[in-house]
Amino acid sequence: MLSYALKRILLVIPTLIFVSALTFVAAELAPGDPIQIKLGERATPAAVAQLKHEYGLDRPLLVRFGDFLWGAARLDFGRSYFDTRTVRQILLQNYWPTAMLAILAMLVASVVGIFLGTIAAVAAGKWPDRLAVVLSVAGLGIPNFVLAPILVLIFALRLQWYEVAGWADNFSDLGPYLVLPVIVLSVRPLAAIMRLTRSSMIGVLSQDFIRTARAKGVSWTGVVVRHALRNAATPVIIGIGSSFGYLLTGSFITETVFAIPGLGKRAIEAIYQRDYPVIQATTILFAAAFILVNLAVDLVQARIDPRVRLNRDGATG
Amino acid sequence: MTRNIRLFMMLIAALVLLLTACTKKQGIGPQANILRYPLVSSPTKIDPAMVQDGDTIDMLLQVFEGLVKWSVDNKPVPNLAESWEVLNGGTLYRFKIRQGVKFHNGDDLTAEDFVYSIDRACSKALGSETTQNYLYDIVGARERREGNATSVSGVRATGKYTLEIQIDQPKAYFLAKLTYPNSYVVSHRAIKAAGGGEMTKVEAVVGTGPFKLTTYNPDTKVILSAFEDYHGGKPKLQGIERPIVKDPQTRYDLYKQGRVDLIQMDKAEVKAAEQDPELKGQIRYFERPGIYYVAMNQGVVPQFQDKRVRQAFAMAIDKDAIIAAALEGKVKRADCIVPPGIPGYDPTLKGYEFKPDEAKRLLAAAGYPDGRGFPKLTLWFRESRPDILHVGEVVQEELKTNLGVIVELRPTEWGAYLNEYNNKALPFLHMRWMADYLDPQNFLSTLLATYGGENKFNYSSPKFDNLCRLGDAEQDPEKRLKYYQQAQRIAIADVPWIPIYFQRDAELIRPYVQGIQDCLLGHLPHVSTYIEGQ
Amino acid sequence: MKRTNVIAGLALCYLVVLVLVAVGAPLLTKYTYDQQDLSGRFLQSNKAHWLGTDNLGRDNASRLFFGARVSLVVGLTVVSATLIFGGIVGVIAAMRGGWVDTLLMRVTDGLFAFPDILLAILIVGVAGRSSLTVIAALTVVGWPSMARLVRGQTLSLREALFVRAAQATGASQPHIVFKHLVPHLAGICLAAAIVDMASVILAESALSFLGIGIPPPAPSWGSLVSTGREFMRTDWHLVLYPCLALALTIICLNLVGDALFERWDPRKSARA
Repeated sequence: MLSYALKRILLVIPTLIFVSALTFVAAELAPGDPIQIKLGERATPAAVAQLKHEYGLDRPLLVRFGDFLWGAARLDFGRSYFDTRTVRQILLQNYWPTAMLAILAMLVASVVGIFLGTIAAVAAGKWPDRLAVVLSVAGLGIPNFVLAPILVLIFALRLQWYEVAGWADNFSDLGPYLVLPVIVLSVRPLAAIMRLTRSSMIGVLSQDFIRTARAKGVSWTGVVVRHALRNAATPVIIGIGSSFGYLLTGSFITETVFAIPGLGKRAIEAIYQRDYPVIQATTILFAAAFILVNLAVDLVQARIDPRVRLNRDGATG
Repeated sequence: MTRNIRLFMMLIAALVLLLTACTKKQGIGPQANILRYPLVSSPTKIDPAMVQDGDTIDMLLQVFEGLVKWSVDNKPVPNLAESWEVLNGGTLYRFKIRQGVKFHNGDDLTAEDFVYSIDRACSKALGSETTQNYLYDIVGARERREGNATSVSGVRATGKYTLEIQIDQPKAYFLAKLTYPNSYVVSHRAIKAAGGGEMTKVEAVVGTGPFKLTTYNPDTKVILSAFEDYHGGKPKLQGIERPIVKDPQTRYDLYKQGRVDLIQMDKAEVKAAEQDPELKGQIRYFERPGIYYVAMNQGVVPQFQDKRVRQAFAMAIDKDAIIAAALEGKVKRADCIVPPGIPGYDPTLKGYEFKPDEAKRLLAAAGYPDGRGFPKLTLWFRESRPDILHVGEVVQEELKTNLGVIVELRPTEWGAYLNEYNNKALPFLHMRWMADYLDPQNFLSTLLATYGGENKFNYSSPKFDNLCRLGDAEQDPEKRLKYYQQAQRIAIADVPWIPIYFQRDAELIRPYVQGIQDCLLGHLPHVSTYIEGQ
Repeated sequence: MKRTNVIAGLALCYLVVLVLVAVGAPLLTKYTYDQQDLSGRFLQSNKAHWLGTDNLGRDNASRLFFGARVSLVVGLTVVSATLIFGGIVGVIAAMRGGWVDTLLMRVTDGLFAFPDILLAILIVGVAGRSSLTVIAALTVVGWPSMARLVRGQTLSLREALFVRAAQATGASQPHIVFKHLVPHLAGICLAAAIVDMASVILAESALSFLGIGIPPPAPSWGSLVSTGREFMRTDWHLVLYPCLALALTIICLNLVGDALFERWDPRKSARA
């Protein structure tokens, strides 16, 4: 188990190098460069050349890539072209709203998703089941950038419960700013987890050992909680793992709409400005988070269900 | 066994509790004598010598000041320079610096501070990208920027309160250029204490303006507080708060919720505000010196070299329909090039009016009856700007129905767009030009003269160029205006591009915000602004 | 079981109707999707425009119908490309094994880990915004998961008795792939592709919101939804109809995909 985990962690490195090479090549091929954007409409060729030199952009691609990798290995991602801060400072200041939203959304999605999924499975075919199914597919179908203004309209403007948008400096004031973005972000993972829970629970509930337990006089809730949930855990954990990727990309839109100073919003801004050092660093960070979460999911899964073969080198199957 | 289920129930209960506990407690409406209005993008520069985007400039104008400033009637008027003389036939400016002006850190302002500030803005080490546009008229600025000189030879302090600036040739618009923050005065002592180089820390941001920068968080907000010893008298506001909000709908919602006191709106929000009984009365419109136009590149599309084709295009586009539809009729139709408020604006010009039949005839005369044989065009414009996109869609449709010319739309990411634009490679484009300073030179010479930096569509008229050159150098305002007006007439008749509309900003301002002063380029520093009842 | 079949059947009916609407869009309305009427903008439903008009006076119903065309074509193209590309990579990786497998899987892992919206924006940025680049971007984002699925399935099928038997009789590699593997993979891949198509359509709408989806005036549902969002405070019907169409289509694709998954349960086919 340990050596397997180590091997997987080591494999993260070439993957990350591949990811950054890809961004580098894309940056190289893309028309328009950050210097043009910096100088705007009033740029002259001489000024462009001068600034390119000042930022070291006139060096060959491979040299810049090597430079970047060497820096990245020391967690030094250079300076942003537009920001007054270094990329490292930007990452340090921006990561936690994104991480916090992702973790909270995952928590909400798991708790509510498992709860609704279980209810749906137990009441399979009856109205709570159907209601839950309808809710979950609706959740899969509404784009988050439409859901967000609807929620804002109802809960922030009509009912005045929560803040429209923004972020608080103190942790204790964050509550009203967090609720709506967390809901928006959690809807899709919630729907996915609910569906997975429901289908695997239905599978488990129809199996022999459940019937035996029932025959022995164990109550329904007892059966569900003790036996069924445990057996249904594997697909649910897979669901959590695969939803995590969505949480990262979902943050791009959610943070923009709710004016949250997170990495997702920063990454989008950086792309529009062609701020390559920031793009590189956020991409690597997102990719690393994604890979590590999936690794963790695999390990947990192996722990719960020893049947999972550990010799595959892919992430989730 | 039931422990598990209890745990689960508790989790759900906790969630519900959390949702209720997280409701907001703060009240709505003004909290203190503080003006709250959003920045629409992150202020990545806080150094007046480096800043480029309009929104951040508006923020820094509260903190820093220059020799001259804009007045409410759109003229450069004395600010830190009490008065000035123009000598040597218009190439030497002698400024008398106001006495008794204090920096935020208590230091006194002298002419030496200006010598330092301008030299700093021009220095190669700082690497400012705006220097070239605003300070290269000064003798020695170019050499300093390129690293071939250790100081700017054209700027001297000839007394404690006397500053002389030498420029390369007579330029009537030079004073107007000095209103741009690039030449504003900064504190040598504060910058040195903060480690030199570009201002990135709050401590370095020390000016003479009515407000001091107290909090700078490029991700969430900027906070300014009143400067007690301001030379124009202590500002009435206690402070200014600028939360950073990019999404226009979110800004609108924040205003509606009462979290901010003033916002700029996009047209969809204008429509919403107009239908909102509470907000309807709080909409304010401001004319801005910007023009939206569609340009035809004669270097890329040879057909555009034929004046009849250009005229046909101009007559096939119904500007009034575009304005009514795409922009909800909130802007002013443009028939000349210089916007209202800037000398040179000419309401008597009518341009080419919407005459689809005449347009069709002209295009046929040029050899393309019903658009047959005319190449398919690509209209380029900047993406993610709804207003610009809608104009593009209407232009596309009008050219198709009125001329039979097929246009493909190419919304392009700003960086890629600029790349092509600066290479003069865009065949057909829709764009905006916003004044850097309020002078006809900044529109006519800059945009359309063969030597103009913004003429990216290969228009060249020797007659037009000649008149612009005369206007650029002429010191007598009346004569100067005449040259530019003649030039403008030529350009309108030649139709190198089609003016569509002049920029007009819509803002929502809470009625308790009083005393805002405004000039064409934007709100003036909030010296007299206050929150009623606070 | 039966009820799910009924529901899936209804969903399938909806999808068939949708395809018919998309194909027959020009017959269903008397307007084209880009025909503007600047004097009749933001109209509510009426006899002439039964879903009203948009901000440029274009008929919402025709934009919705033609939009079905755009969205379905984008969805189908992307999914087919994904299927072909992911399928080939997956089968090769599984059958060849060794360094080929490792290399291909590293590349898929890398693309898989790349935040997908960022990747799509980068690709559209590099190649310029056009329908083709949007489709290409969504394909690049989508194929790694298909490759993984196919590889996993192929790996377990390879051990199945009937494949072993074929190998024992000396059948060639391509023969085994096309005669034995592909038929068994087809079902599960089709199911996955249908579910994928839902996410492709949704992803295009996210790109439209960010301003880099299918370029105007082509009325992809994504662009209808994002224009509608602009005006949703005053003219909610602009966002409602495309949103409903989008949601319904995604739901039905999911339902049909799920039903197919159940039909071709991987465990069952592996046992075959």
